[in-house]
Amino acid sequence: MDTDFPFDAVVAEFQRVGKHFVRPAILAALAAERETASPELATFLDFTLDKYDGRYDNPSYIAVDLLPLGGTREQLDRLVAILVADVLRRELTHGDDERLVAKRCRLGLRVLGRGDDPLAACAAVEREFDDAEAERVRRLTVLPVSLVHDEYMFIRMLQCYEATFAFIAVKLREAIDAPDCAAEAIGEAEQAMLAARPLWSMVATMRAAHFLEFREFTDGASAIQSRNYKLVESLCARPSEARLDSPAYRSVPEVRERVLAGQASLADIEHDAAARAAMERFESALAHWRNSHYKLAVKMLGERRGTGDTEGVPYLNRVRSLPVFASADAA
Amino acid sequence: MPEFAVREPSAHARVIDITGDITAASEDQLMDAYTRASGDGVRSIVLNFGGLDYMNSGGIGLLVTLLVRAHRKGQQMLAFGLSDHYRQIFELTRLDEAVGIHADEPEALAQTFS
Repeated sequence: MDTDFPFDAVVAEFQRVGKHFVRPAILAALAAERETASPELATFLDFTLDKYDGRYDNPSYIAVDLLPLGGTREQLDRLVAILVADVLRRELTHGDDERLVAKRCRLGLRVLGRGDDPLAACAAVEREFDDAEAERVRRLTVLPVSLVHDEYMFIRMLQCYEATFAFIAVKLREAIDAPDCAAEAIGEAEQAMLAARPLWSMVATMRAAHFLEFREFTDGASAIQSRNYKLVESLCARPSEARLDSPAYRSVPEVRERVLAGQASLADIEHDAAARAAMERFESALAHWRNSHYKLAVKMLGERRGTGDTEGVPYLNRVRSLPVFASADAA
Repeated sequence: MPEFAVREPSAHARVIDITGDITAASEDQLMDAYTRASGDGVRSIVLNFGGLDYMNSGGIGLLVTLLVRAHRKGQQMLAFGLSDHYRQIFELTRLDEAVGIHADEPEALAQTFS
């Protein structure tokens, strides 16, 4: 990273006013900077300029290109710990409701598994992960579009899920490439899915009024655009032609192109009994995730439409029943 | 009406003397002062806040803009004459990590690039 660039001042300014409300002069200055920036700095500047460029979407909202995704389970756990500890730190310093802060800390500690003192747990995570990559994640990867308190936690939770799905995609690819080891790889994918389950309890503390307030400024970005979720879905089974043509896949062209280019999926392969059993357990874990997402959307949105040009709750209700490992024709 | 006068204490440094308020309404004048200050060979921009009466949220945004523009030109940015209140604002907004803050002009100029 360009150490001379005033990262902290820029991030502080974005967080002080909300990404949607940053002064045009700052954005113009950042855009000019990007013309000659190093690739790393340019990636950060792309993150700050997504709305300015008119290419704001879910991946840019959650800084996907700045997150270390797709590594080992240890790397996933490390990233989730950094993100969750950052949420707790934020709650402890900026929380606006004492009881809610206590609740989020309790739930966050359950994810972190580091005792019952949130401050001590945050400090322990920060001590354990104090390298340049961890520092970059903490400092540079969260730019809420608004000043609504709960949006910060919302972004961090979306990042945790994205990281989880990126890891799962790695494992599913392993299972496809080496069918003899498929049961083990799919088992690891299932375990990651189960480990992410307690995150739903944290997300569920989000106040609907806050969500409805900041979504006014997140329009154009939707979880439907999650790259890694779609990647996981398409690695399980080739999506039907109708789904490939839907906004869900049109919004992730890199995944759609892989599928159209003939990406192999688990559904295409003959599996042994152990692998089939692992696939059933994974399907169950993914179904739980889909149901949790649906229930949260009902709580937050009710009958309102979703962002990213989706129907919202009816869409989530429909896709939660999509078979995970069914063939293209059946799905 | 704010004023932003530009002085030339050395070949490589310029001082912008700020008088009055810095708000969003000062944008054109401050950016004009910066353009006048950052001619060929200028490597340090020193902001003199001794005459500052008031700076609001919009003013902070202008300083961030200046910082980014100065970085693009490879210039360092320094400041002096800040009251305790505005020093705290600089800390809160992390400007203090990118702008070298000094007690007075000689101290700031001593830190400029040659």
